Amino acid sequence: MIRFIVIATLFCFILSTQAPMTHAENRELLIGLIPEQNIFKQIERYKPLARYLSEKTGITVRLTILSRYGDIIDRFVQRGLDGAFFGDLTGALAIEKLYIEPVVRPVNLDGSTYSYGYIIVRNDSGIKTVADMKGKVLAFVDRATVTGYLFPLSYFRSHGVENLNDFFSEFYFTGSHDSSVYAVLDGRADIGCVKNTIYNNLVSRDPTIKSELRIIAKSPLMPESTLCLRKDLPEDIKKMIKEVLLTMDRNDEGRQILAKLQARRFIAASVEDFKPVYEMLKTVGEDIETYQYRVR
Amino acid sequence: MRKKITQYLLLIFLLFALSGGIAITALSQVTRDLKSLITLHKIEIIRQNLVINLQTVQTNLYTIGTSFGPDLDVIVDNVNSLDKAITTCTGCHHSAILTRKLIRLKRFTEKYKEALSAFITTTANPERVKRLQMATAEIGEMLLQNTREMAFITNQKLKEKSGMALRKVERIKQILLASLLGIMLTGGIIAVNLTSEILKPIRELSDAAREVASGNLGYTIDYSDATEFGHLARVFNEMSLSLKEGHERNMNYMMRLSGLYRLTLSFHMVTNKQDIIRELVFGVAEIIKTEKVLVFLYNREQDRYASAFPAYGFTDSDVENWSYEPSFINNLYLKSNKRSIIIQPEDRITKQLLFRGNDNIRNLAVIWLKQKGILTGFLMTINKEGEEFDEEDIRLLSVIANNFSVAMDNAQLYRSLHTQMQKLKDTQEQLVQAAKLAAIGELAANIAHEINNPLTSILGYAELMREEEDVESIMRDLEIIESESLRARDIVRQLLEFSKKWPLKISKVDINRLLKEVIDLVSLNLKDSEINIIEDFSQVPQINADANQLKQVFLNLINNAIQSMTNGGTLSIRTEKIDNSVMIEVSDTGTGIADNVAQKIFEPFFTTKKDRGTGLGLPISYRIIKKHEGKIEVKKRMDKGTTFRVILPIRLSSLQISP
Repeated sequence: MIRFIVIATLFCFILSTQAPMTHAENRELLIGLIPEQNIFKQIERYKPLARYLSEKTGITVRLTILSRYGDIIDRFVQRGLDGAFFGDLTGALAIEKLYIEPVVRPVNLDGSTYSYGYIIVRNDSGIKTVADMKGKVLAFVDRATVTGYLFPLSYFRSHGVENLNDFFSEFYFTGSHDSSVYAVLDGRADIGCVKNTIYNNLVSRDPTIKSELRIIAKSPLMPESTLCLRKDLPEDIKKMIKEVLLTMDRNDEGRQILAKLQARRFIAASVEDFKPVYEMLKTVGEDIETYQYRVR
Repeated sequence: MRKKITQYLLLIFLLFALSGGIAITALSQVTRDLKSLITLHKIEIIRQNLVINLQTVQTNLYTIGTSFGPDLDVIVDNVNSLDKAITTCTGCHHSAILTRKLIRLKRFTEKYKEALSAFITTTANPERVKRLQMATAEIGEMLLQNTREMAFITNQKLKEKSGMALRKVERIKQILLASLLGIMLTGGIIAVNLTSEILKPIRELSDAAREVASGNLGYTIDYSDATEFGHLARVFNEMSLSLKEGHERNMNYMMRLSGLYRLTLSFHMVTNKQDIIRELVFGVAEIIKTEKVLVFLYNREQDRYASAFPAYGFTDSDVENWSYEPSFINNLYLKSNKRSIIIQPEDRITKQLLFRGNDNIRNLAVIWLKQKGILTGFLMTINKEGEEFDEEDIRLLSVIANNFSVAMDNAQLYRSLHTQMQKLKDTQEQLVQAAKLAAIGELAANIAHEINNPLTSILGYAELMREEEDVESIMRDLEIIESESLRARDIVRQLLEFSKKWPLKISKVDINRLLKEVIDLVSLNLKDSEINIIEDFSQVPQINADANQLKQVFLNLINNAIQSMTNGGTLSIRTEKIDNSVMIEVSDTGTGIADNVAQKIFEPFFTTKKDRGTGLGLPISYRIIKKHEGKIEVKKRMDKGTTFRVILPIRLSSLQISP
């Protein structure tokens, strides 16, 4: 009996000392997503990862989607985000303008660690060169993307197109890569821009797409969507999240979630990864400090 | 019975299990229906949510600008919920039409998502944006319409299924009720059946037990089956029969004992040898129940064991001259170790024993008869009824044989006693005769002596007169002669009186008065004497007696008493009723009577009064009292007087009342 009381007391003591620790960890992280593709698909794609992270770290990870690439810079502080999966340009802008640090980035299914942009037209459009594009409708993705705007812009410039308004009958921003593809496919635009990972993803689901479209140009390698976290987050949390993500390919559950993200695994990311973005900005004569990333 | 009860219980258990099974099946069916109903309701809720979500999204579509901000998350959530709802619906089993509709809905949703996403993310000139918005809204409307259409179908389905489920519940309720009633009915029948099956044998058993208790031993019951009750009934029957058997055995034993008692009693009642033999053979035949009984006794004269008469089951002529050589019998006696023997018809000895009439012999027992340890004969019992002789019979017969021997001994003793008695009687008679002769001789001598005295005087004075001349002397002598003659005459007269048999003249006599008369008579002569008379009379009844004769007795007794008190004294006369008699006591305080005198006072001519008595007073009194069936006795008190006690019966037994 006495032994039982002693054990019970000890147990209660342990529980009472444990409780504040768990409470301290019981916080929330709000992670933003850019509308890389259909916002519904995008959020569905990342949900399992958020759940996995919550489970493994004990921190509730919530996701929020942004309707514009550029919004992520404006709204990061406004919305009180703790981190976000940034694209090539948004990542660079964030590093520049926000107090964040890159944590991890995915390794694509083909093993590559970078992505690149395509300029696409419909096969039956007869467009083969930039010259063929005159008077056509162009669908960019967003101003705050290299693959969906800066690269096509530099490409067109290198092919003598200085004023987009004069050269194209209309150009607009679809906001997401797949929308740009669908706009071309549906005839709402003649020329589209798309990141190779999204393109491959669409083709894998509907192979006819590949035969319907023609790739006119291919951009240099750009960093894939990189998870960046606020620098002022507690170190242990950042470390824990990084650890979980870097090792998730070592278990079945993690591997399944990675498959949904069309990734093999995560690798550590660094500011260095965004060098190509700066180069591209230079090409188009823009400066990251002054670049007008907002779409008007 | 245990098996039956187990079977019944098993049956009830099975019935319960059956009804339980029915109930569970029914319940699971109802639950399934209810589940499906709940699912339908859930679907309905999903659909409603879907519609609400859709409407919200549609509303958002028109009210909010393209920079959705945090509202975008809400839209995304709504659309995703919508998508999930449709996916859920498509995942279920549906009719082909519904499945087709759902697939279409799904396709529309995908399109809607596409259009919505494009509308939300696209940045273009207002016309394009407006076009995108219109397209999205259009798809949304179509989605709504489709959903509403489906709502109708699900509603119909819901109604139909609800109705079906309710009907099923009702039916199940009926089935449950029916099965419950059925089980109750069956259980009741089983209970009644079981109870009656248990009670019937118990009732029969208790009735039978009452029968047996009331004395009907051997009463059995017909109940028989393989149950415990059947076993109990069998045991009961066995018990009843064994009780009966035991009772019969006891009764038989009792009868034998009473027979033995009767026989023993008879043995001691009869003294005749032949009667004893008759009692023996008939008694044995009755007690042991045998067809034939014979007795053989050793005849010393013939030196043979000859049959005694009578024999049971034989005529006298049958057994006449039936006898055995002593050597043969003695041999048999010794061979049997001097014990009674049971002989079977096939034994060689049977033929030797029954050289005549040995037909139909089933069994035979020989019981030795002994007197003072010496073989005097034997008893032969033949053909016991129904069964063989057993040790019990032999024991009983041995007891009878012993009793017989004692009875024979007694008879012999009685006979010799009788002879002795006769001899004694003869001797006594001779003695009495001699005494009588002696008495007569003595009497004659006494008479001669008594008469001789006056005669001697008379003769002497007559002789004297011859020589006397003087007339005066002669006259004096003549007077003496006369007086002596008168004395002689008195003696003769009294003698005559004694020998004479006066009949009693019986009348009612008051003893007290009679005594008073006597006392009055004598008291005249006592005037000068110093004798005091005490009359101690009690109230006594009148008695039947001869007053004159009694007066003579008491006069005699009182005179004797007075005469014994020459120097005076007290004369007491007492009367008292004792039982059916009256007692009269006459006591004096005179000289009394000596022992040797007391024995003779009632003998004739015995007297202590030399001159005055004749010695006939008391003998005459004695005779009178005897005739009155009374008693007279003397209580001698030497030197203290004498008491005579007379006891007279109030009534005389023999009618001596003379006319």
